[in-house]
Amino acid sequence: MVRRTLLLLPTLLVPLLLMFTLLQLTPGDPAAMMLGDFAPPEQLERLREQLGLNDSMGVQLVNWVGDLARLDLGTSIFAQEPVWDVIKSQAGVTIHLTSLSLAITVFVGVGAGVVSALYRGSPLDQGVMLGSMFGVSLPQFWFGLNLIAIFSVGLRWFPVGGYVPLGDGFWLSNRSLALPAITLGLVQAGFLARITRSSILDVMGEPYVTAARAKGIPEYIVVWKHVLRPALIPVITVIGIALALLLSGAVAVEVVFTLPGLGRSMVSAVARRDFPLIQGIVLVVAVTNVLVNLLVDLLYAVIDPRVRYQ
Amino acid sequence: MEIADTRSDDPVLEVDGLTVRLRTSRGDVEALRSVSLHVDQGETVGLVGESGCGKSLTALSIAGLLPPMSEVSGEIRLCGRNLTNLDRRARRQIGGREIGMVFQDPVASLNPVLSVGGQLAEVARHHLGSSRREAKALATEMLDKVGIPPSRNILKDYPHQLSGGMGQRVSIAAALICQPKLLIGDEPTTALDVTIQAQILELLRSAASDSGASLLLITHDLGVIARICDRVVVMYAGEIVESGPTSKILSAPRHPYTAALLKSVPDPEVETDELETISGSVPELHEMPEGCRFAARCEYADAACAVDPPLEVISRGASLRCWHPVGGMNSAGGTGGLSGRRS
Amino acid sequence: MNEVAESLLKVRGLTKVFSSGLFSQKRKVYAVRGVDMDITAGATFGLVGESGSGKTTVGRLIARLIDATSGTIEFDGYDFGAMEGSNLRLARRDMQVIFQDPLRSLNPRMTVRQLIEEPFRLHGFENEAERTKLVLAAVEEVGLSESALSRFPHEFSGGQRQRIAIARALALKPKLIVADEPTSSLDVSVQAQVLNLMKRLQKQHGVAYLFISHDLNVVRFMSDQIGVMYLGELVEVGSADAVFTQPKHPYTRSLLEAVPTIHDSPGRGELSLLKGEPPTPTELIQGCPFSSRCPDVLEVCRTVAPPVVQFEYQLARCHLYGGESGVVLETHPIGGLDVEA
Repeated sequence: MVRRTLLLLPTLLVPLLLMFTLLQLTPGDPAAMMLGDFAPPEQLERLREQLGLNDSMGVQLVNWVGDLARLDLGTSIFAQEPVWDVIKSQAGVTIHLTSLSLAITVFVGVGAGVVSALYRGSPLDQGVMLGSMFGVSLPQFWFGLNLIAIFSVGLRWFPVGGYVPLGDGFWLSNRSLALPAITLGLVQAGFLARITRSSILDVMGEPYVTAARAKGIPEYIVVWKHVLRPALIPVITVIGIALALLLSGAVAVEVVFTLPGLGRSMVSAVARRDFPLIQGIVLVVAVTNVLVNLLVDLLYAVIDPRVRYQ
Repeated sequence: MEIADTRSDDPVLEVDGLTVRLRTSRGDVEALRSVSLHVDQGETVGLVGESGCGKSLTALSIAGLLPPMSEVSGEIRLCGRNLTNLDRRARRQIGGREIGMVFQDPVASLNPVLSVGGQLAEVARHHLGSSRREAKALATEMLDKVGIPPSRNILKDYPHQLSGGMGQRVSIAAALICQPKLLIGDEPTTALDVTIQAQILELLRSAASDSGASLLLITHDLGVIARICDRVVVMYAGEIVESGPTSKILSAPRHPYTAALLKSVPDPEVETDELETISGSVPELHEMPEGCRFAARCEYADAACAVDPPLEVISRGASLRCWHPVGGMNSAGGTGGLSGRRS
Repeated sequence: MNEVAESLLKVRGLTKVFSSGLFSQKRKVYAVRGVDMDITAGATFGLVGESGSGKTTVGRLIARLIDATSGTIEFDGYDFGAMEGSNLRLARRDMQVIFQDPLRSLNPRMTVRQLIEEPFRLHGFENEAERTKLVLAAVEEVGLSESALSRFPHEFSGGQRQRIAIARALALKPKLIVADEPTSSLDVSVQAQVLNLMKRLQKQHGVAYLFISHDLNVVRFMSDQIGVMYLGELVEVGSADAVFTQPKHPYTRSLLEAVPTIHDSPGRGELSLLKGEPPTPTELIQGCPFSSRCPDVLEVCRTVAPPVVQFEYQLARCHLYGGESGVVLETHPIGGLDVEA
């Protein structure tokens, strides 16, 4: 347990260092972004000095980490506001979107996987497997654009884009996120459905399931108690991975549906070379990922007695 | 559904002409052909054969655990009542209540994420309608009967914490908790250490008899048969080839396969430098010959064996499927039924 | 013990302790404790025991598949246990291994020809034509035909796969083959064929076998000498006849009584069955490891390690023979256990 928490730090450091290096290596000058390409060189130079861009990479890194230690994520170059404030204002949207998507992924994915496994070989099973294959192969933005075309423009059931905050109405808010959540969630659901299905099929072939049937236990109890419980345990760990995929998928989806979340913010920050903001968002996402996975690990230990009592 | 009490001289189990066809990747195969056997009250019957002979499949058929893609014909009667024409739900109910089953790998036949106590109790709660407390008491009592005293407190343990011997005791307890009429053991000691195996064999016999259950023991080990079985049924390539009292079959086998099998087992009382072997190998299920299935490997085979001999009942509890039994025809105790086909 | 024939394999004080875990979670398993044994050239030494006895570990230690914690292995006159590198590789020509599951010990991607050719290739047989001849001879000797050479292991039955493994092991005409449960996964009739084959090949080539098995009837059939292991210790060792007909150690007796044979019968009444389960070898045991289950246990057995008692044809590690039936040798210390592993 302790060891696992300690391993968090190096796990976080790697993506951050990687990102930092990549940013430094990308062409593009934030100062020029802000002042325009035709600004006088001395002005550019002064801005660069101000922003600390002339320091060596090492120094910049140390400065950033030092600020981090004081929980200061720096100031967004473009917005001229603390990065933390910027993130705070946008995180809500992304959290709302990701939660909704996760719900869809889990319910649709696991549900389809269970049905598929129990009716193995049937047209239903084949349909689900085909669907999930599409899901894993389709680019999300393409899928999202198509959904907009059909349901927003064509049928007018959903807004084309934009986000309605929760405060303005529960249903209205979720309606604005319906299509984006479906886009994100359904794609991942395919992945989860396959894993659920194969886990259940594995368990079905286990001797203890035959033994349970031999005890005279009716089939529906055998499935519920003896098959689903052991089979869903590994699926739960996969949900942690699904979350990571959802977070990264949110970028494309937020752009397509013009949602003011962290994903879209990230895209524009990169375009503007707004280093502090980029670093801040990556840090937040990385930490979230790591924490979720840690939680999932702990959950595993709680529900699987084989792990609990070693 | 209760099975009415029967007169004590009715057999507990009667299998009559059981034929099972399975769908495999190579087409439909007849995995069991016309299997007929019976187990009387209080008897321990052994079902023996090498891998692929169909002994496990026979056990699964009796317990109603065949996979859905199988075609079953023939009758299986438990205390006089036909099981084969029951609907699926009623058939499933028989398990645990009238028939208890113990499998080969004890720890693998217990659900790893449920507690031992829970898995014992669920049988009682489902079949006997016991309350949680009643079931727990019954479980504790049953565990005690199989040699795990309450002081061990294993109700809360999980299967992976049990040793092989303990696991098998738990399985036996679960199988007998509702006092079934028949206990089936499918290679129950094969995966256990020698000294533990001896304990469990003895336990199977005594626990079954204490519970009033008859025992059908499936194994490949002739020594195990000798040790606890009153009668033995020998199977080869999906058919029964011979059956009879254990002592008789082991000392004077009639079927050439049984005789050859006995000679290929290292016998502690025989000093020899070489074991007898059976030439050839078991025919594949989808390439089963017409006629006697053992003929290709039999030293007594002749033209008559192109026709599969019927299973002839010699006396109650003894049968033989052979045109040329070891030791000649006369000692078979009756040639009735054989149409004297011999060229 | 037979001091007359010079031993092919001499093992003294063989000990293996497995450690795992870090810091406070360090766990030790005393898998093998102070084993002494001798194997005569051309003979079969059967090693029996239940799970946790250490017999498989002994096989691996002798074959140098794992390294011992302490003890010596002398093979064909040289210090096999201490050899390294190319010396060890050369020496391995004379000692080969056969495992229980031929499906797993034969590379499924290699044809039979490649599998049997490999030892020749590794040990300097450069000429391909010569190799082909040798491979063909090896395959025919185990009863398979030339057509087998181009096929893969999964195309054969269990018994045939084991023959392939035997052919491969015999390729370089080794002096000793360590066979770890070679027939345990085979049907009875197939087992008979493989055992007959092994015996015949032994007569023809003079190869010695270390035959490890839990099946006492098989071991009895195959072995000239027998060693019985319990919880890492060799509790009885001697000629197979003597040990099986006149077992001296209580564990050997219980083991023999527990094995079902075709001469048993249900009406034999209550056998004196061994109660309880063997403990796992995770503690350094004072006294005799069998003391917790021994039907004839004495007080001294629990605290003092039993001496090795010498009888006419066997040795047993037991307190029960206070000088009457046999000569008590120097109490043999279980080697190497004071050393922190």
